[in-house]
Amino acid sequence: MPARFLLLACLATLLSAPAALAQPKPTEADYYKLVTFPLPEDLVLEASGLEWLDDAKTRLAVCTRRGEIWVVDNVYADAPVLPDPKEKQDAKNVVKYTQMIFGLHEPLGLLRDPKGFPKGLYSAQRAELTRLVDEDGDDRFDLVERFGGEWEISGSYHEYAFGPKQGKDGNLWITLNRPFGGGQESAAHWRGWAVTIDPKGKMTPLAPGLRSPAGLGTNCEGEMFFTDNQGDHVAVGKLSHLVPGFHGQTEGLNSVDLPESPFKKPDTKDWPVRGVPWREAMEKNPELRAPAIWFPYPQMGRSQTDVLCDTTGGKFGPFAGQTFVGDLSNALVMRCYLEKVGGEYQGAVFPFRSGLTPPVLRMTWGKDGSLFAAGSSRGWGGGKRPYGLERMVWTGKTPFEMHEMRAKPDGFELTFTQPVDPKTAGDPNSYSMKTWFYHYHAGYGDKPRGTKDLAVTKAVVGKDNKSVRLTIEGLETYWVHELRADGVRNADGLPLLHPQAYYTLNKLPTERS
Amino acid sequence: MHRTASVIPLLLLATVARAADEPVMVAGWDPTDGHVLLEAANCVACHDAGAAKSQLASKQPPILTKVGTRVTPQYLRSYLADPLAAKPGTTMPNLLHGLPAEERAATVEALTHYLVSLGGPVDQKASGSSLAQIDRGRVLYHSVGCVACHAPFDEPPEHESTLPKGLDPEDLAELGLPGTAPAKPSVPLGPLAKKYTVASLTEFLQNPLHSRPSGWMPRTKMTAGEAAFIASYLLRDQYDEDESASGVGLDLAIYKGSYDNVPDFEKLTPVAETFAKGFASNQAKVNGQQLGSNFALRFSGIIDVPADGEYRFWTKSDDASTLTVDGQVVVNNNGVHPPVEKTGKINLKKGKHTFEVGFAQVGGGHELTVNWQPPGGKRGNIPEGLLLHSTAAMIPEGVVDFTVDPALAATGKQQFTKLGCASCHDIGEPRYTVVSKPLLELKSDEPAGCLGESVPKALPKYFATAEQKKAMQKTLAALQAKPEAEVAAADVVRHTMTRFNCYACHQREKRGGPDVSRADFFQYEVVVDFGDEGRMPPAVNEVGAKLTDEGFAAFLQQGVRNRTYMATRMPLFGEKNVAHLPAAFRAADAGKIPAHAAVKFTPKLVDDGRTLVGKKGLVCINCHAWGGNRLPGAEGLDLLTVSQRIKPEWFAHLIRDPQQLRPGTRMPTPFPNGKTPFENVQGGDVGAQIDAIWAYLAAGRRGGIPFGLSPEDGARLVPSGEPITFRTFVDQVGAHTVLVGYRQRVNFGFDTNRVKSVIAWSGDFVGTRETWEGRAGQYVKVPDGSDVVKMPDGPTFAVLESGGDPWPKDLPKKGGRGSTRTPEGWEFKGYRFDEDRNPTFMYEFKGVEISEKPTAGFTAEGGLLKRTFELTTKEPVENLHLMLDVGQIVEEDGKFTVDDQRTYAVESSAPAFLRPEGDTSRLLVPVRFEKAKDGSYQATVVVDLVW
Repeated sequence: MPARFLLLACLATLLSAPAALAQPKPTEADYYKLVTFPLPEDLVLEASGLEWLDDAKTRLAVCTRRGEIWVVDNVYADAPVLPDPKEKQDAKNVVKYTQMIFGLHEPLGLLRDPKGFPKGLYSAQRAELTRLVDEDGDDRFDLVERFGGEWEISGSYHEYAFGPKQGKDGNLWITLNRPFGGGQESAAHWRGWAVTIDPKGKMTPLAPGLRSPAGLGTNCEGEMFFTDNQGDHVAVGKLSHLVPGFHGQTEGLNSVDLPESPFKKPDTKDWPVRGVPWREAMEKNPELRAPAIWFPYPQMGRSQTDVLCDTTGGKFGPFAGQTFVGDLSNALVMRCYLEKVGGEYQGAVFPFRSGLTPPVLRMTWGKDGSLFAAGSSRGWGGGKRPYGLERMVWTGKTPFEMHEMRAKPDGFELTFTQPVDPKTAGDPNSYSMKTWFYHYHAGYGDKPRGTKDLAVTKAVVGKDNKSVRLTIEGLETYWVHELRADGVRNADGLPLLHPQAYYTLNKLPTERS
Repeated sequence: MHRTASVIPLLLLATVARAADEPVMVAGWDPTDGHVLLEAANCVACHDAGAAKSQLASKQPPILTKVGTRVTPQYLRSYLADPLAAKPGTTMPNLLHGLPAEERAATVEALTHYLVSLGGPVDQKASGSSLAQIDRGRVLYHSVGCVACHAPFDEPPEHESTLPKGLDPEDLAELGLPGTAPAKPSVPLGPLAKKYTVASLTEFLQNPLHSRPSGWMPRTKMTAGEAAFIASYLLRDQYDEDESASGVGLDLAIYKGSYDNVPDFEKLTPVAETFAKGFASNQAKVNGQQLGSNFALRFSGIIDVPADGEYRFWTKSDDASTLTVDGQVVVNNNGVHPPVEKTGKINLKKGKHTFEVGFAQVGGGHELTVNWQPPGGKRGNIPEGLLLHSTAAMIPEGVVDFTVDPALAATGKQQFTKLGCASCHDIGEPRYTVVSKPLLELKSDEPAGCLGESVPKALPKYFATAEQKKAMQKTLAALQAKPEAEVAAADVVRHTMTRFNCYACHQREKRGGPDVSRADFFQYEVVVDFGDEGRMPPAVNEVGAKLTDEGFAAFLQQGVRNRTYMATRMPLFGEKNVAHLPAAFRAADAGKIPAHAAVKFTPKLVDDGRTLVGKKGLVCINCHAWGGNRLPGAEGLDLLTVSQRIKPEWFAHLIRDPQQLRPGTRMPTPFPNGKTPFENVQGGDVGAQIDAIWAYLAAGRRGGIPFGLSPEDGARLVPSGEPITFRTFVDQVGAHTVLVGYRQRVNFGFDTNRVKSVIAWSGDFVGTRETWEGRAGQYVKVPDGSDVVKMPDGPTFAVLESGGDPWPKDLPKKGGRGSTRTPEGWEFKGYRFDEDRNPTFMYEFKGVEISEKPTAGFTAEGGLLKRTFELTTKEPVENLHLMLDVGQIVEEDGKFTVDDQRTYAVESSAPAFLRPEGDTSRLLVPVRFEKAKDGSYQATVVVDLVW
């Protein structure tokens, strides 16, 4: 580019965003800082579960894919360091790791003292739900009790069991991966299912159709959700309301004829009909359950994991009540807004915080409302380091973000975390929207299909300057709607920290507003 | 390319002058030893040794069958014309000195044509080398042992002197300390740059014994690459940078360090440089040790593409890789990840382009593959011949075009025989020998003939000095006086060590050892704090009492590098040439080491030895490796080979007082003042502890890795104190297995699905790799070579209503899905650890709560697995039986031996019995419940299993 035009281009930039000149563009780190835990050289913390050992949330238990459980002390250190006898250290910064047990079989979740259950730390191993008890308080588990779990394994590497999490019904919920061969024992039952276990240890199968459901958790209304990973029958990663019915992957159908199965195959032709757009699949396949949110690949992660609703009451920023979802391969945390439309959950996913050090497989809240994230990338990549533990702390500054995105019959309603600049927020040209759909098919993943641009015809700023009502033509049900609000500025002239959102519009609301 | 000539000024290096390099005929360790000189001159080729034959070996001169493929015509010409001038110090005599000049020239020409016709002429323009290769050769030449005999060209590296200060060299030599022997003359190399091509010298260096079978020039074990480096160095005067050449293969530089992305190599120093074979990441070897993780590789050189067009490249790597052509990154596969494939393309003109593949590995597994697709071609490996490194031509000095004249060659062949060349040199045809006076009849009282001051025209003229001739005469006289004398073993040893110049490296009885002019060239391969002992070959004062037959074979016949920290390599002198040495050493050294009573090895003794060697004992592993596994920096001898190489009495003697056998050794005294710091091992008895260590070493791999040492792959679990409980998929055992490994090298497996013990074995426990690495979930295998006991099919307990009831079988799978199960009514409850972290397995059957606690112990013969069953129930169950085994079972002294392989001893209130079942019998234990104080019914059965 000749220098003269370059200069003009620079000028144009200056004129269009004068406020941006005053201060550097904010980054995620300005609002949420990361505190990485140092690890002893020989500690390969392939974290796969996080749970507090005490109600005061001071002692953090971490289980690993290697089958250990560690307890970490001093987790709220501002600048955590490892003990070094040669250095004079500030005791409150010295992190201590204690191994509580070794040799479990790929535990992928931790839950302490669920209400109504015998006390102990519960963990799903490959073949069972286990209750661990440290009877003498020496930080080593003495009892490794098989609590329940009549699911089966054939010995395939892919037979993971995730959980448990306690549901509204008081039972412990567990999700089970589908296998990929390789086992020396014959094919197993209840793979690809979600199951629940009652306080007596009895298992009840809940729903088939899961593929690799690495994340499980309730939203703030206590409803259980799970994430599933892109693959066969799964177009891209998704967040689904874990309700009875068929969630799409066919492995679990191998067990529907057992007497214990609560699910019976619908008596319709060729059920489940595959190789069609999801909207058509939903029409043709009774009992098929659509996800509440699709995570476009790879913009919104590549392998979604833990589900954690914000119960911090504002200690973690302005997102109380919303649901966070982790991602392993991209080592990030995303934020979901869920609403019920037509009786079922759907909603939007927003970028939240990327660049975590470990891949994010598990998350939990600290006593101060900070977020502990941990994981292991083994076999799937992701993260700056292949494993580890990190703490994300809100700096107290409120980021300028879209807060909620609600479907309307003829568009969307957005709310923001800060008052908007009415001029830019009220200009339809500040927004753009794309929409596409995915196929429901047996093949591995899917690409956006039928992508088209939708016109934002109207943008009306609310009276409080914190909401905008968008009118958009041509919304499609069961399609993903990508909104970009690049032109919107807050009162200080700052752009949105993340201008994009992805809304999975399964149903259109009928009421006018 | 990234090489710069300026860093390698070696081409300008002058030979370091040495006082010892006086013009003498160089033969063996002592140029005044008449015996060795007679052998070197190969006198017996013409003079039959008769009765003295067994006393006098011959140095067989080079076999000339294919000399034309090795040596250039120009060298042959000059050497034949006057060997003594062309190669001062040579043992080859001048046979033409009596001929008139013209006739001599014609004879030389004819001989040259004849010799070149034997396979030649060699292609003198086919070799190339780079400065880097030459420099690698320089380092190797001065470190692997060449300069023990030949002259060094470099200044020696500096070492921290361990010699006493303030003494003059003669005093030091008098003390007999290694490295202080007087300087010895060097074996001449002659004008190598004229004689060889890089290729022919490389081939010669790889096994000099092919053409020189007597072993005077021994074979130093080296790779073809190393031989090429040394050849390039020795022929460095041939380097002609104006004539470029290419060698096949890329340069490979190896770097240590943890890099998430391919690093900027220009800012790093490689730990090793070599030539690449393909792109496999397992080429990351330093000193023969495979780097497991945290390393980077740089493959660099030239790609010679066959046509103009678009080239696509792929790299698949775990972790980072990049592929660069002409400085442009074509494939960027950076980052820490499992095997990931990336691709890119570039337009290239036909011809040569710089080419580089970078690779970096952080933790976990590693792999690298590189593919390409040329225009119009298919995807595949880049053909080997297209990947090159740049070199300069290496052309022998005085190169001439040479065509063999058959007529001249024929004349030469006649001359060869007539002149007597054929008396010494093998040309692959029946030898014609010039027969002279038998040796024992030669005049030895005054100088005459070949040994005379002026040699008659027809006789061979040697390079020997007058003094040397005198020495030869003296030896001759001695032989003539006692031709059939029995030579004492000590003299055989001394003579052999002199002949082969063993003394250049090894001291024996204060004779020899590295001489002062060469001692500092003995270097560490890796720097360790072992003092001079770490860089100088060991003295062999009592080697006959030290080494086993296997030890001698490793030492003399195989050239096994036990001292991997030492750069010098023990060369090989030819099997038959040194076959007599072990017996001679043994006879000469008999009685030097006190005898040692044989020890009866028991598993407990072995285990105590393991404790003493490991981290809570003498910590031998601080310096020593075991089976290739080592602590960082522990470069000492591998303990696993000790018992094969070394006799127990020598070991016992050494470990009691290392300084006595190895003065100045860095090996600590394990038992100062004859006391042990470990009073609870073997009752604190030092002799018993030494026996325990020996028992452990002698047990080899069956003894188990020393405690405190991680196995080489970092993946094997080593139970040391507490048992290790590890749940995983186990090959041929099941997907529901909880394994327990005990330090006693006894291991156990419980199937939580079939609710029963399924396997026990002795030996190593399992590794973690299958369970932990990659996507994992693979099956671990019971290690090969373990003694395995598989528990029979069917549940552990069953109710037998009548004596004839069949034992229940495991249930088949449900409708083809699901796992094999124990019959209904069984429930696995988990396991509980006791204070020592022994797990107790808990299960339930028919309302009976059963706990099964396996523990391990030692017996006199082998491992012991003790299983303690405790049963508790509210209502006693009648006719409940515990089933232990099925097979050919013999009962003796209350013990049951199954299939001659394993023995059970049962403690129970009701006696165990055998129930015949066809050809076999079943070992059963009735369970008899007794009422306990709390009203419940209880029973206990304890089963000891030994195998």
